[in-house]
Amino acid sequence: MLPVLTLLAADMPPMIFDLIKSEVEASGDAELTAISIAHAMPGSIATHGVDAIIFDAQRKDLAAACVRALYDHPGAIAVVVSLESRGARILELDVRETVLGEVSPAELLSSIRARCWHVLR
Amino acid sequence: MIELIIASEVRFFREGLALRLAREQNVGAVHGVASCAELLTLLPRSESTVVLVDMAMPDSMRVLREVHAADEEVRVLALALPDTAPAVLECAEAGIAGYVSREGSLDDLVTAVHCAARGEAILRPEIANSLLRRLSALAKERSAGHQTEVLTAREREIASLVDDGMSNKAIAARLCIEVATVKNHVHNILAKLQVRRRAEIPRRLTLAPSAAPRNWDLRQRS
Repeated sequence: MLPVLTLLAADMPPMIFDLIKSEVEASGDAELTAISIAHAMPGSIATHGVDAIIFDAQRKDLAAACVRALYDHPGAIAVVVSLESRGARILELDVRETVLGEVSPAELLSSIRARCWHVLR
Repeated sequence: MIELIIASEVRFFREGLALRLAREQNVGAVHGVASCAELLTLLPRSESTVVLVDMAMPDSMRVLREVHAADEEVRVLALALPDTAPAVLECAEAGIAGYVSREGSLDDLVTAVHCAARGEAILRPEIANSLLRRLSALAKERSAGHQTEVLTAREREIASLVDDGMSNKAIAARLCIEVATVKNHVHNILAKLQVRRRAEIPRRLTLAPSAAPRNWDLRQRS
């Protein structure tokens, strides 16, 4: 049996929400819940674990809402649906690992500096 | 059995709605088209009874008119229409059988499709009221139009000069006729337009859109 995906739809327009819901119900491997993230997310949702949070690109606070959702649920992805530009995109927190091996304090600092400068550039 | 065409540039809507509507019991074939041109090409070749037109498409208003003109039996639903009286009235004049607002749900749309197929429409009370008032205004315009139709060519010419603010004497001079003749014409115009004073003639004439260009033409010639 496939694991059930937990999807949240944040303040979506009714028609878009209904079309996603219709597809979710037909697939049977996911559950979709409508939420409003203008306020804090309900505790029951926060403790269950979330796989994806879907947003409408039209919302004014889109960037802030995505950042907040991703930091509240680091394992989840944020999906932005834009009907006006006829597209959708996925945002996620990307944790990368670089193995440094055995290092001296100077090498450690050098590696940190190189990485930070790389990120800053 | 309802056969549908969904016209929307947005694939999410086009395919999502097609899948959902195809599950309805009395819905047969559901076609999706991505442009107004495609819709107008497909329409004569299909047996569609209901056409859904996404109003976000360019030229959607023209398409409403063309679909209605091509086949009055086809019920056209406007999708994602602003739920305001001017927007609905404009589409109603273009021939829609119903609409689903931008804030409408999928259930609203399914209901609208079934209603349209049965020859019914669901309207908010405010919109229904606006439609009734528009109908009343159109009836008044038509009535005023008929009144100006009964004016003779000479009377329309004189009414047009009265509209310009000219006195009987000035009109007589302009048309090279006696002042008494002008008075007679004005008297007849007042009677036919059912107004008491000459100052009311211009308002009566402007109520009749078909009369306006004709009067303007007369002024150009005189």
